[in-house]
Amino acid sequence: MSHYRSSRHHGLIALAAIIALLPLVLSNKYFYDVAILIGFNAIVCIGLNLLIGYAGQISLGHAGFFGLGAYASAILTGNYGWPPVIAALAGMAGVGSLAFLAGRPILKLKGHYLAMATLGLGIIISLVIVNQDRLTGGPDGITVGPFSVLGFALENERAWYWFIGGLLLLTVWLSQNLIDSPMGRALRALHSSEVGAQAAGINAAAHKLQIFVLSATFAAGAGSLAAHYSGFITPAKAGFIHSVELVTMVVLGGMASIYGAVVGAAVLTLLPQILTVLKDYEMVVLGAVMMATMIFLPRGLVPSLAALCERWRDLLPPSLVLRLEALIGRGRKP
Amino acid sequence: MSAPARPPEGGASQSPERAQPANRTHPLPQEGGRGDGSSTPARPPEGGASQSPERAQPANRTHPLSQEGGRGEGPRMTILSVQNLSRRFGGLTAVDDVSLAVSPGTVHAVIGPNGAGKTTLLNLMCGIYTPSSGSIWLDDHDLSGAPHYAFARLGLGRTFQTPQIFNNMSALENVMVGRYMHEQRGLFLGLAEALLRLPTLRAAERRSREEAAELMRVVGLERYLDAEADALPYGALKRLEIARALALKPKLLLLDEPAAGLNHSEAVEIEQLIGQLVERGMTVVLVEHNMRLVMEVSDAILVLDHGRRLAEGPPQMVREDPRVIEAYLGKEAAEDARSAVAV
Amino acid sequence: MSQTLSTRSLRWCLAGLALAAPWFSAPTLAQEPIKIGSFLSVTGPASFLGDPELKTLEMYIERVNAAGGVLGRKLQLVSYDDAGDAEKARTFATRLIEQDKVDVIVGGSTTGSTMAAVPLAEKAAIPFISLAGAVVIIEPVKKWVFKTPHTDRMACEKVFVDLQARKLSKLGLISGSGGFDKSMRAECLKVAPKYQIDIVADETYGAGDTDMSAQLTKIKNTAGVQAVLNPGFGQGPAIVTKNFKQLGITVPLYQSHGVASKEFIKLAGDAAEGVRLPASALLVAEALPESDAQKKVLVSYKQSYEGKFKSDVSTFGGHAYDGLMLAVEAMKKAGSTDKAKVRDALEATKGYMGTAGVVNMSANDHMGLDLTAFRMLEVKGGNWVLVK
Ligand SMILES: Nc1ncnc2c1ncn2[C@@H]1O[C@H](COP(=O)(O)OP(=O)(O)O)[C@@H](O)[C@H]1O
Ligand SMILES: [Mg+2]
Repeated sequence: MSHYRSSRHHGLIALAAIIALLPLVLSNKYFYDVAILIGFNAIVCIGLNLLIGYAGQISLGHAGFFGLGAYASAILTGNYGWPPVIAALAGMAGVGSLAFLAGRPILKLKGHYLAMATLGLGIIISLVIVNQDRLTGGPDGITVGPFSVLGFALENERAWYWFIGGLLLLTVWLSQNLIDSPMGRALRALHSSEVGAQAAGINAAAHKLQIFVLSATFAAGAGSLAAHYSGFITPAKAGFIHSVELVTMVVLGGMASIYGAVVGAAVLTLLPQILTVLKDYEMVVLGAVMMATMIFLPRGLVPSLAALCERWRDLLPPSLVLRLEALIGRGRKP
Repeated sequence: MSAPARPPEGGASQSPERAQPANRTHPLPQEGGRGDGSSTPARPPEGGASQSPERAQPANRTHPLSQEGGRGEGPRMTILSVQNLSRRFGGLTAVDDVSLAVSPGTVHAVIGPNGAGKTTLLNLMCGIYTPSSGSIWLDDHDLSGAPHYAFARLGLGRTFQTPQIFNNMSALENVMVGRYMHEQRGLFLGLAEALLRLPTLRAAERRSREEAAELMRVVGLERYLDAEADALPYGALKRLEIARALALKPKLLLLDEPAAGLNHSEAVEIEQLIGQLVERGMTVVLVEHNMRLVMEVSDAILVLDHGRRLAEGPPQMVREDPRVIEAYLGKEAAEDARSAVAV
Repeated sequence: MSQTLSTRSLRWCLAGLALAAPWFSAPTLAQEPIKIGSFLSVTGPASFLGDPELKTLEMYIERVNAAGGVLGRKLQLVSYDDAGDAEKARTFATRLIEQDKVDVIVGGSTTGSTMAAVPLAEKAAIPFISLAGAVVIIEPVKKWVFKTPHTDRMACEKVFVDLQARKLSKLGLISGSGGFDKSMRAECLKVAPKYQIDIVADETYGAGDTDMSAQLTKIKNTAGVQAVLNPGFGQGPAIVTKNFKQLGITVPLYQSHGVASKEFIKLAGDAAEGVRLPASALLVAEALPESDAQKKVLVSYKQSYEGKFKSDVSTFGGHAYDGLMLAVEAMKKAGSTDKAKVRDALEATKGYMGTAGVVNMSANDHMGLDLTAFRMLEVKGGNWVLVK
């Protein structure tokens, strides 16, 4: 177990190193922009993976929470002049409360029914955003002012990059802490066997609700910041397609893997940028890549590759194995 | 607490027929509740009582199953009390008007052919199923209809016929999950502590790991301290479940066929493990097909058939009960049992 | 760029050069193409905009190049599909500016995707000609941002002018809940007082509604209603038109430019008779009198598009045509691709005849269209006819 904990630190260090060194190859604002988008998506996906991968509860409505966070920031800073940080926190609190209220009945459902219910919740949220056009600007979207923390405004891509990079590290750290705590074990336990978890005194319903709220709050926070970064937000960000994109990132990267969520977000943010040159074939190739991944690496990129490495490590010198393992972090099964 | 809580076997065999009224007695201290359980006006005429003549006898205060008799004088003597419990699944009555009282430090076995309703009874006793009728008391808490986890929090640990292992974590973490209720600090404080990994949590986690590891040693799983749960063989999973249940620091342990699916030597190991637990004074409700094990460790045996009580009493009595022999055990089985006890 | 070279070997040579180019930092060929950047909603819910826009850009860039290009250089189109997602639009706009280093941007199919890219164009100081409708794009005026389509407000104004001519002033509104619908409704409400139009009823219907009788009955029962306007897009207006007829409402019904297509008449059937709407002249190109100064450009674009793609021309493709041609004209006038000079030339555009109408830009009007850009049409005998 000390093994797991030390590899956890190694993972964080590796991620920090990547974030620190990446600017060496980010030669212009466009690359920064893509890196920042990866950061936002990764933060949402880590939160979503806590819910889907660790606690085993699906949500097809997370974009709704993301969108609500974004619009809360847009409206509270734009119409009411709130400071961005306060607006973002208020948005997170509001979304957390909504998730709490909606989650109580919804999370009693399982499997397809839960998927349908969260889907419905997301659709309702995006409809409200579209229809409350006096506040939200309706389908055309709404302009959002710049973000500032303690009077220090994030003006350019570089500033945003370091801010989001730091936030991503923080999110990874918090999530790893959670997973490796009594509460995290409770979540993983109820995913694996709800009856077994209850036999250990775990109130499954309360824990599902708690992680649902936490995960929705992560999404709302990322939404707030993404809105400020973009400077403009449309209801599409709260829509069903965005929800599916987020779930796809989680599944592709690897369920129940925090780095999987990061890798999934990175791959699915980067791929469209690379494949866009294929024009009409972009979607076909993207689909093929995802299908191939799920066929050959069925547990998602990170856990499947980690398992492969484990299988190969007998062939490698032990010292190298130790070092590699530390880098990857041990993949955990969904 | 072990020795005094377990009355001598002899007491049980002396007056087996007096065992029953205890089952119908309220677990809470009651004035004058002893010995006249069968005539308690609040209870409808018990089908079980009229069927089994031996139950008509007044309770023998020295019998392990009627220790509530002592409650007027000192500590309460029933941990778990189940009264007139029934559970229907559609048209099928899986458990039909079953009553049971478990005294601290005793091993109460539930036997019966497959489909007799043993697992259903256990599931009722720990809140997985809600009773169609009847009540369940754990200490002085009426838990009828309470959720499963609430039973666990009051000190009821259990294992499952099909092990409910958390395959998404290590074996050690499985046991640590069992410590959940001793680590839990409320959803919000717990969340903050967990997210920030505060020093208090770190210390608690270290202790938790040590204790879980110790429990793994107790059940003989020291080989798997670093293993992922899904890497364990079946026999080890059964023991892992016991370790997890023990991590709860339970007052009462429900074991559902702990030896099922095990080969002979594994079964013997489980048997020894249960023996150790019982020696340490653990109160156990045991569902098991292995008669040798049952006869050896049980203080009392409840025989179920088609959801109903067929017989109940100390092993010797059950073993000798002609109806059990005829209707359930069969002659060979009865002989098996006899020879097993002789061992 | 290799497409225009005649011999195969030369083509390969150039392709090789293009591949090798990144390895040599310095050599910039004199004949380096002018890069026209574009991000359009080619797929997704707004593909009805992006698809004809992209086709138009591709077709006309080819034509311009065949005719010798601009300033002796070829045009090169760099386009991305934002799928109607504003965030993607922003990233692609960044890519056009930072990575592809385009000279001008002609794109942004939707208001959302345009608005997401506006701050980038402003910051990077690059001319950006949007193909989206809303007034917010050019109001307030943004130094580097222009647009080619007429606005919803102008559609309202065109209707109001027609109402004035018919001496009608009490108008009932029934609008859908899509982006187009909402935006136009808001604009109509805003400019109504200027034309002494009284909005006496203001009903809305949902996106998937299949019967609007209830709303129309309310309007019918509103005292003094003299005409009804339906700012709407998609299937809704056809249903409104049918219900309108079924309820026996006799006042004039106006639709918006959002349904200015044969499809609308097909859907609404007989009920469409007598319905009026403001529309781009492109829709009735061939029916325009020879004296109409716009006719030549309209017919030429229409025939080219329909000839090549075998599908009905749309005003949206026309917006892309206008955007590209405005950029080309501005570069010719500026005599260079210097961004500031091109911007100044764009702002100084006068009398340019496009598919949307005559464009006269100024420092405080980055669209430059007036109401003549719209023609009032009426359905007669199952066809669109110009209202004289
Ligand atoms: N959840 C359930 N739904 C329907 N029938 C059930 C359920 N659980 C148990 N039963 C039925 O109840 C009867 C008793 O089952 P069980 O308690 O598992 O028997 P045992 O453990 O003694 O073998 C069986 O006939 C079984 O099919
Ligand atoms: Mg069973």
